[in-house]
Amino acid sequence: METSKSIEIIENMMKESKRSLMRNSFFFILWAALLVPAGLMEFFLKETNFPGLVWPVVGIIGGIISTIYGRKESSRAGVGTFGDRITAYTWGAFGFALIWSIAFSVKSQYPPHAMILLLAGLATFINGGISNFKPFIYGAVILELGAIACGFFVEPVYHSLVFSLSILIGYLIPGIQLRKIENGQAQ
Amino acid sequence: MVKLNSILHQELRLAIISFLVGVEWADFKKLSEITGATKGNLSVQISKLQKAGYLEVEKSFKGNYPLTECQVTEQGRNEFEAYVKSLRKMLNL
Repeated sequence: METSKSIEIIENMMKESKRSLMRNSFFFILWAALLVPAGLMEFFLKETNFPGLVWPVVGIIGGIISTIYGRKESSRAGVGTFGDRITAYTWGAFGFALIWSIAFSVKSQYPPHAMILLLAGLATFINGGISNFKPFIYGAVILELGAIACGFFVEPVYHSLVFSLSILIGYLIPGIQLRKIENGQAQ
Repeated sequence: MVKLNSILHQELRLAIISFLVGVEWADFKKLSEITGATKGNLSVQISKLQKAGYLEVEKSFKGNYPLTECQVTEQGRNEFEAYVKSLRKMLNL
Protein backbone atom coordinates (compact mmCIF):
# COMPACT_ATOMS: atom_id res chain seq x y z
CA MET A 1 0.00 0.00 0.00
CA GLU A 2 1.27 3.48 -0.91
CA THR A 3 2.01 5.82 1.99
CA SER A 4 -0.29 8.46 0.45
CA LYS A 5 -3.11 5.89 0.57
CA SER A 6 -2.39 5.31 4.28
CA ILE A 7 -2.69 9.03 4.96
CA GLU A 8 -5.95 9.19 3.00
CA ILE A 9 -7.44 6.26 4.97
CA ILE A 10 -6.40 7.75 8.32
CA GLU A 11 -7.83 11.18 7.42
CA ASN A 12 -11.13 9.72 6.17
CA MET A 13 -11.59 7.53 9.22
CA MET A 14 -10.71 10.37 11.59
CA LYS A 15 -13.43 12.44 9.90
CA GLU A 16 -15.89 9.56 10.32
CA SER A 17 -15.11 9.25 14.02
CA LYS A 18 -15.52 13.02 14.46
CA ARG A 19 -18.95 12.84 12.82
CA SER A 20 -19.97 10.25 15.39
CA LEU A 21 -19.71 12.91 18.09
CA MET A 22 -22.52 15.08 16.82
CA ARG A 23 -26.00 13.68 16.93
CA ASN A 24 -27.72 15.30 19.87
CA SER A 25 -29.69 18.07 18.19
CA PHE A 26 -32.89 16.12 18.88
CA PHE A 27 -32.58 16.69 22.64
CA PHE A 28 -32.11 20.44 22.31
CA ILE A 29 -35.04 20.81 19.90
CA LEU A 30 -37.27 18.55 22.02
CA TRP A 31 -36.55 20.37 25.28
CA ALA A 32 -36.87 23.79 23.68
CA ALA A 33 -40.18 22.74 22.13
CA LEU A 34 -41.39 21.73 25.60
CA LEU A 35 -39.85 24.47 27.74
CA VAL A 36 -40.62 27.57 25.65
CA PRO A 37 -44.41 26.96 25.65
CA ALA A 38 -44.21 25.82 29.29
CA GLY A 39 -42.71 29.19 30.29
CA LEU A 40 -45.34 31.06 28.30
CA MET A 41 -48.15 28.93 29.75
CA GLU A 42 -46.88 29.56 33.25
CA PHE A 43 -46.90 33.31 32.59
CA PHE A 44 -50.39 33.38 31.10
CA LEU A 45 -51.81 30.97 33.70
CA LYS A 46 -50.42 32.95 36.63
CA GLU A 47 -53.88 34.09 37.63
CA THR A 48 -55.04 30.48 37.98
CA ASN A 49 -54.26 28.12 40.86
CA PHE A 50 -51.99 25.84 38.91
CA PRO A 51 -49.37 27.78 36.88
CA GLY A 52 -46.53 25.64 38.27
CA LEU A 53 -48.24 22.45 37.16
CA VAL A 54 -46.77 22.74 33.66
CA TRP A 55 -43.23 22.01 34.93
CA PRO A 56 -43.68 18.49 36.30
CA VAL A 57 -45.85 17.62 33.26
CA VAL A 58 -43.20 18.89 30.84
CA GLY A 59 -40.41 17.28 32.89
CA ILE A 60 -42.05 13.85 32.82
CA ILE A 61 -42.90 14.00 29.10
CA GLY A 62 -39.40 15.24 28.17
CA GLY A 63 -37.70 12.74 30.47
CA ILE A 64 -39.57 9.76 29.00
CA ILE A 65 -39.06 10.80 25.35
CA SER A 66 -35.36 11.62 25.95
CA THR A 67 -34.70 8.25 27.61
CA ILE A 68 -36.43 6.25 24.86
CA TYR A 69 -34.81 8.23 22.03
CA GLY A 70 -31.37 8.15 23.69
CA ARG A 71 -31.44 4.36 24.04
CA LYS A 72 -32.69 3.84 20.48
CA GLU A 73 -30.18 6.28 18.99
CA SER A 74 -27.26 4.75 20.88
CA SER A 75 -28.26 1.28 19.71
CA ARG A 76 -28.82 2.41 16.10
CA ALA A 77 -25.56 4.38 15.89
CA GLY A 78 -23.49 1.35 16.85
CA VAL A 79 -20.74 3.59 18.13
CA GLY A 80 -19.91 5.29 21.40
CA THR A 81 -17.48 8.13 21.93
CA PHE A 82 -15.81 9.59 25.02
CA GLY A 83 -17.68 12.78 24.22
CA ASP A 84 -21.01 10.91 24.31
CA ARG A 85 -20.16 9.56 27.75
CA ILE A 86 -19.19 12.97 29.14
CA THR A 87 -22.33 14.48 27.59
CA ALA A 88 -24.54 11.79 29.12
CA TYR A 89 -23.00 12.29 32.59
CA THR A 90 -23.26 16.07 32.29
CA TRP A 91 -26.97 16.00 31.42
CA GLY A 92 -27.58 13.28 34.01
CA ALA A 93 -26.04 15.54 36.66
CA PHE A 94 -28.08 18.44 35.27
CA GLY A 95 -31.31 16.43 35.62
CA PHE A 96 -30.47 15.49 39.21
CA ALA A 97 -29.56 19.08 40.16
CA LEU A 98 -32.67 20.33 38.37
CA ILE A 99 -35.03 18.22 40.47
CA TRP A 100 -33.47 19.48 43.70
CA SER A 101 -33.34 23.10 42.58
CA ILE A 102 -37.05 22.94 41.73
CA ALA A 103 -37.79 21.32 45.09
CA PHE A 104 -35.73 24.04 46.77
CA SER A 105 -37.62 26.78 44.92
CA VAL A 106 -40.96 25.27 45.97
CA LYS A 107 -39.75 25.21 49.58
CA SER A 108 -38.41 28.75 49.49
CA GLN A 109 -41.38 30.05 47.42
CA TYR A 110 -39.00 31.64 44.90
CA PRO A 111 -39.34 31.08 41.09
CA PRO A 112 -36.92 28.39 39.87
CA HIS A 113 -36.14 29.95 36.48
CA ALA A 114 -32.78 31.55 37.37
CA MET A 115 -31.50 28.27 38.83
CA ILE A 116 -32.72 26.22 35.86
CA LEU A 117 -31.15 28.62 33.35
CA LEU A 118 -27.90 28.61 35.32
CA LEU A 119 -27.72 24.80 35.29
CA ALA A 120 -28.84 24.52 31.65
CA GLY A 121 -26.22 27.08 30.64
CA LEU A 122 -23.51 25.12 32.42
CA ALA A 123 -24.45 21.83 30.74
CA THR A 124 -24.86 23.49 27.33
CA PHE A 125 -21.43 25.12 27.69
CA ILE A 126 -19.80 21.74 28.38
CA ASN A 127 -21.74 20.21 25.48
CA GLY A 128 -20.53 22.98 23.17
CA GLY A 129 -16.94 22.47 24.28
CA ILE A 130 -17.03 18.70 23.76
CA SER A 131 -18.63 18.86 20.33
CA ASN A 132 -16.63 21.97 19.40
CA PHE A 133 -19.90 23.52 18.23
CA LYS A 134 -19.73 27.27 18.79
CA PRO A 135 -23.51 28.01 18.66
CA PHE A 136 -23.90 25.96 21.87
CA ILE A 137 -21.23 28.09 23.56
CA TYR A 138 -23.07 31.26 22.53
CA GLY A 139 -26.37 29.62 23.53
CA ALA A 140 -24.90 28.86 26.96
CA VAL A 141 -23.90 32.51 27.37
CA ILE A 142 -27.50 33.54 26.56
CA LEU A 143 -28.81 31.08 29.16
CA GLU A 144 -26.41 32.44 31.78
CA LEU A 145 -27.42 36.02 30.94
CA GLY A 146 -31.05 34.96 31.33
CA ALA A 147 -30.18 33.50 34.75
CA ILE A 148 -28.48 36.74 35.81
CA ALA A 149 -31.45 38.78 34.55
CA CYS A 150 -33.90 36.62 36.54
CA GLY A 151 -31.68 36.59 39.61
CA PHE A 152 -30.96 40.30 39.84
CA PHE A 153 -32.82 42.55 37.42
CA VAL A 154 -36.26 41.24 36.47
CA GLU A 155 -39.38 41.09 38.64
CA PRO A 156 -40.26 37.47 39.57
CA VAL A 157 -43.57 37.76 37.74
CA TYR A 158 -41.69 38.08 34.41
CA HIS A 159 -39.15 35.31 35.06
CA SER A 160 -41.07 32.78 32.98
CA LEU A 161 -40.97 35.13 29.96
CA VAL A 162 -37.20 35.66 30.30
CA PHE A 163 -36.89 31.90 30.70
CA SER A 164 -38.80 31.17 27.47
CA LEU A 165 -36.84 33.75 25.51
CA SER A 166 -33.49 32.44 26.80
CA ILE A 167 -34.41 28.84 25.93
CA LEU A 168 -35.61 29.91 22.49
CA ILE A 169 -32.29 31.62 21.68
CA GLY A 170 -29.96 29.43 23.75
CA TYR A 171 -31.42 25.99 22.94
CA LEU A 172 -33.69 26.04 19.93
CA ILE A 173 -31.59 28.08 17.48
CA PRO A 174 -28.31 26.16 18.11
CA GLY A 175 -30.33 22.90 18.09
CA ILE A 176 -31.77 23.69 14.64
CA GLN A 177 -28.33 24.70 13.35
CA LEU A 178 -26.88 21.40 14.58
CA ARG A 179 -29.79 19.47 13.03
CA LYS A 180 -28.99 21.01 9.64
CA ILE A 181 -25.37 19.88 9.96
CA GLU A 182 -26.40 16.37 11.02
CA ASN A 183 -28.82 16.09 8.10
CA GLY A 184 -26.12 17.30 5.71
CA GLN A 185 -23.70 14.67 7.00
CA ALA A 186 -26.27 11.91 6.73
CA GLN A 187 -26.77 12.56 2.98
CA MET B 1 15.08 3.25 6.18
CA VAL B 2 11.82 3.59 8.09
CA LYS B 3 9.88 0.32 8.50
CA LEU B 4 6.10 0.42 8.78
CA ASN B 5 4.14 -1.87 11.09
CA SER B 6 2.98 -4.70 8.81
CA ILE B 7 -0.17 -5.38 10.83
CA LEU B 8 -1.39 -1.80 10.43
CA HIS B 9 -0.07 -1.32 6.90
CA GLN B 10 -3.08 -2.94 5.30
CA GLU B 11 -6.06 -0.91 4.05
CA LEU B 12 -8.89 -2.44 6.03
CA ARG B 13 -6.96 -2.97 9.26
CA LEU B 14 -5.68 0.61 9.12
CA ALA B 15 -9.22 1.90 8.50
CA ILE B 16 -10.57 -0.06 11.50
CA ILE B 17 -7.88 1.18 13.88
CA SER B 18 -8.01 4.78 12.57
CA PHE B 19 -11.74 4.91 13.24
CA LEU B 20 -11.57 3.24 16.64
CA VAL B 21 -8.83 5.52 18.02
CA GLY B 22 -11.27 8.41 17.58
CA VAL B 23 -14.19 6.75 19.40
CA GLU B 24 -14.63 4.67 22.51
CA TRP B 25 -16.18 1.61 20.85
CA ALA B 26 -18.00 0.57 17.69
CA ASP B 27 -20.02 -2.48 16.73
CA PHE B 28 -19.43 -4.76 13.77
CA LYS B 29 -22.30 -3.24 11.77
CA LYS B 30 -20.91 0.28 12.14
CA LEU B 31 -17.41 -0.82 11.14
CA SER B 32 -18.83 -2.60 8.11
CA GLU B 33 -20.80 0.52 7.18
CA ILE B 34 -17.91 2.99 7.40
CA THR B 35 -15.25 0.78 5.81
CA GLY B 36 -17.53 -0.67 3.12
CA ALA B 37 -15.91 -4.08 3.70
CA THR B 38 -17.66 -7.43 3.34
CA LYS B 39 -18.61 -9.17 6.58
CA GLY B 40 -16.19 -12.03 5.93
CA ASN B 41 -13.19 -9.80 5.24
CA LEU B 42 -14.00 -7.51 8.16
CA SER B 43 -14.29 -10.47 10.50
CA VAL B 44 -10.89 -11.85 9.39
CA GLN B 45 -9.14 -8.48 9.81
CA ILE B 46 -10.72 -7.84 13.22
CA SER B 47 -9.47 -11.26 14.35
CA LYS B 48 -5.94 -10.41 13.17
CA LEU B 49 -5.98 -7.12 15.06
CA GLN B 50 -7.35 -8.89 18.13
CA LYS B 51 -4.63 -11.58 17.97
CA ALA B 52 -1.99 -8.84 17.73
CA GLY B 53 -3.42 -7.32 20.90
CA TYR B 54 -4.54 -4.12 19.16
CA LEU B 55 -8.27 -4.68 19.65
CA GLU B 56 -10.51 -5.89 22.41
CA VAL B 57 -13.56 -7.68 21.06
CA GLU B 58 -16.68 -8.37 23.09
CA LYS B 59 -19.30 -10.73 21.73
CA SER B 60 -22.83 -10.81 23.12
CA PHE B 61 -26.44 -11.03 22.01
CA LYS B 62 -28.95 -8.25 21.56
CA GLY B 63 -32.33 -9.91 21.43
CA ASN B 64 -31.80 -12.79 19.00
CA TYR B 65 -28.98 -11.13 17.12
CA PRO B 66 -25.25 -11.46 17.79
CA LEU B 67 -23.53 -8.23 18.76
CA THR B 68 -19.78 -7.69 18.33
CA GLU B 69 -18.29 -4.60 19.92
CA CYS B 70 -14.71 -3.53 19.27
CA GLN B 71 -12.48 -1.24 21.24
CA VAL B 72 -8.86 -0.28 20.59
CA THR B 73 -6.41 -1.34 23.34
CA GLU B 74 -3.63 0.79 24.77
CA GLN B 75 -1.14 -1.27 22.78
CA GLY B 76 -3.19 -0.67 19.63
CA ARG B 77 -3.27 3.05 20.30
CA ASN B 78 0.51 3.17 20.88
CA GLU B 79 1.21 1.16 17.73
CA PHE B 80 -1.08 3.42 15.72
CA GLU B 81 0.72 6.52 17.01
CA ALA B 82 4.09 4.94 16.15
CA TYR B 83 2.75 4.08 12.67
CA VAL B 84 1.66 7.68 12.06
CA LYS B 85 5.07 8.91 13.26
CA SER B 86 6.81 6.56 10.84
CA LEU B 87 4.58 7.74 7.99
CA ARG B 88 5.44 11.36 8.77
CA LYS B 89 9.13 10.53 8.78
CA MET B 90 8.84 8.81 5.42
CA LEU B 91 7.01 11.78 3.94
CA ASN B 92 9.23 14.32 5.72
CA LEU B 93 6.21 15.98 7.35
